[in-house]
Amino acid sequence: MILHRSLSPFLLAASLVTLGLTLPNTASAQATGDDLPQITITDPNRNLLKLGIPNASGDAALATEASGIARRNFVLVGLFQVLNPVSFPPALQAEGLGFSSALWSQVGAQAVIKLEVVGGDQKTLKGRLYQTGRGDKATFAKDYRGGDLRMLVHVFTNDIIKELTGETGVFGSRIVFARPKRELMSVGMDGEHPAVHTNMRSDCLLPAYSPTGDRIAFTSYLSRTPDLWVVPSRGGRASRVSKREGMNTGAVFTPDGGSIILTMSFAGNAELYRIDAKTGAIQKRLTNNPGIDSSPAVSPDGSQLAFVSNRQGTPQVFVMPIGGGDAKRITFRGNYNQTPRWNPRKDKQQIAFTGRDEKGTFDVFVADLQKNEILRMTQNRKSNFDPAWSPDGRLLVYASSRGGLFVINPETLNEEHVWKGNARSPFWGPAPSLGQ
Amino acid sequence: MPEEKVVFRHASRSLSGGIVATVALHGGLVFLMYWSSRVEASPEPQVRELITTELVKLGKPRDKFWLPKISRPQRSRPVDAIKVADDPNAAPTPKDAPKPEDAEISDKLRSALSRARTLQDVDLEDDEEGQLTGSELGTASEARAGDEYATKVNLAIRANWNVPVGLIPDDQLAALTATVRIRIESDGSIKDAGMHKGSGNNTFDDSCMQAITATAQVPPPPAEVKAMWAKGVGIVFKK
Repeated sequence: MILHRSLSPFLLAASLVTLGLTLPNTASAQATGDDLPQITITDPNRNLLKLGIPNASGDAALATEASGIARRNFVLVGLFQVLNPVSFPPALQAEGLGFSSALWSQVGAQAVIKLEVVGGDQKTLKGRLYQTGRGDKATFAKDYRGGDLRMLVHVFTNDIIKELTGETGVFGSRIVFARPKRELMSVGMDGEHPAVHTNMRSDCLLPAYSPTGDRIAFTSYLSRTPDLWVVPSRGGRASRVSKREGMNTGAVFTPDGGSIILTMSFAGNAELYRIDAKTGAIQKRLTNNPGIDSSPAVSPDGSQLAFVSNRQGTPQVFVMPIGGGDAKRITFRGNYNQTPRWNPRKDKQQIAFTGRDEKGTFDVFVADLQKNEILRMTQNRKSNFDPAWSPDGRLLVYASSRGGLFVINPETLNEEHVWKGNARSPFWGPAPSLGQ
Repeated sequence: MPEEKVVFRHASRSLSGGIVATVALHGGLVFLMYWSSRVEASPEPQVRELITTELVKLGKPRDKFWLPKISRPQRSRPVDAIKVADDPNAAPTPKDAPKPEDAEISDKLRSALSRARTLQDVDLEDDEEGQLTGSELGTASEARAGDEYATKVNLAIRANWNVPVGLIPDDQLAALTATVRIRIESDGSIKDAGMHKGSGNNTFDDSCMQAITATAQVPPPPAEVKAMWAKGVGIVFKK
């Protein structure tokens, strides 16, 4: 009897406990996302990021100029499809620095750049980045002040590239190049602000920036022989560094800037040497064989040297230790490969070069030493040659028989014409320091 | 003795009340467990894998000695089929001349031939069984409503999903997966979109959210699956 009396409350309590454990479980099964029905979407579209850049607001003339520079910059880096502003409805143009992700999604934008310019001696550029997947708030906002509007937009562009890729852009860097029978010249990477660096009144060939960009080494026929000269990049007198008999060509600076590696033929055959960058004194002979060795290019860590040699019959690209030694051939396809240039990125073992295909056309290729493959950059666009990497290793510049210089993004193969005059042997200078 | 009877009566009353309450609670428990098992057993939308093939062109292989070419995928064009009747050079189709009935063929043989033709027609009808909205490559004769609707949602969002080339290399993309949780209203509008499980790559996650924002609206869910889809759905994005 006592047992019966105490049993019923126990049964009730046990039932309630069991009920209590069961109900929350039922509810939580619907609360967690893993238990929802799922749809798996695969095989995405792989296009450039669709970027909207509406007309800037503020001072009308400056705003138009700033919008134009920004659109050109973002097209040039080859990562963005800049949407045609004509397709933007008035509501989007009238937003100012504000933003509606729903409206911009309707015109297909994945990201939007907004600019506002305030004029005066010291201009102010207000730059904003919006991403349609992150709501209506700016994901990057910064104001810039300075006298040169183009430079302000360049700095903003570099910041946006860093925001979207994790690595800053290199707008503000310069490209030096030769012009047949004319003086050396350089332009900004957007093709603007041209500058002439020499006054030799003779052929100036194969220019190369020093690692800090303060000097340019080149070959000149001023004395009717191909001698090596160095000129300050910001103006000043050129000095002859090597005038040895025969050729003194294809110079590149070592990463410390203290030495130059070049081809010289005073000993009878064209070989690679390392010389002092100021005095021209020979520090070391790097090659010694019956073939012609030329076009040296130093690896980003300074430990290896790529060069061209015909020691196995046809001009091919070889790699050897920076101090000389056993050379390893890296190009086995095509019978005429030349002008190698190392990608400055240490995480990418890539060498760009000029190759001739079976139709006799020169085109730009990239040899990936990690993947052991060769990638073609240009095709069916006349001849393209003499590639050089941007300082961040994201872009290549090259000369073309179409006239002038072109920049290509090796990942997207997006190509842009940056200089329309005559040009040969471009060399891309170091990244700028455009602090704000 | 009378006291004992009172005690027994009280005890039996409380025992029977307890048993009734316990039975009622356990009955409720059983009902709850049955109900929850019904909810969990709801049909889940399934996504079919798409399989594509490419045919190798007929021609002479290129010598591997030469430098590589840029190969771009060519869009397939529908082949213009030439009907014999439309071909001006084609010979006219011969028409069978009517033949006189053979008196030697027995009625039984004629009946057997007629039966064979009927069976052949039945076979052809079986081969073509499917749905008017189905695919030529489909294998199922019919689809459940949930499957069909999941496919519509999949196609609508995928059309707006762009993983920017150049910002995410192919080798990185292969390892990225993100799940976005959305809710689909009865009119098909997408609400309450939020990243449920990020991939760790902001650009990839942004592309997934951008796909949802750009889609905004999908076909309205059919009545039989509306309740399930209204609770929410996980959209898994991966290469």
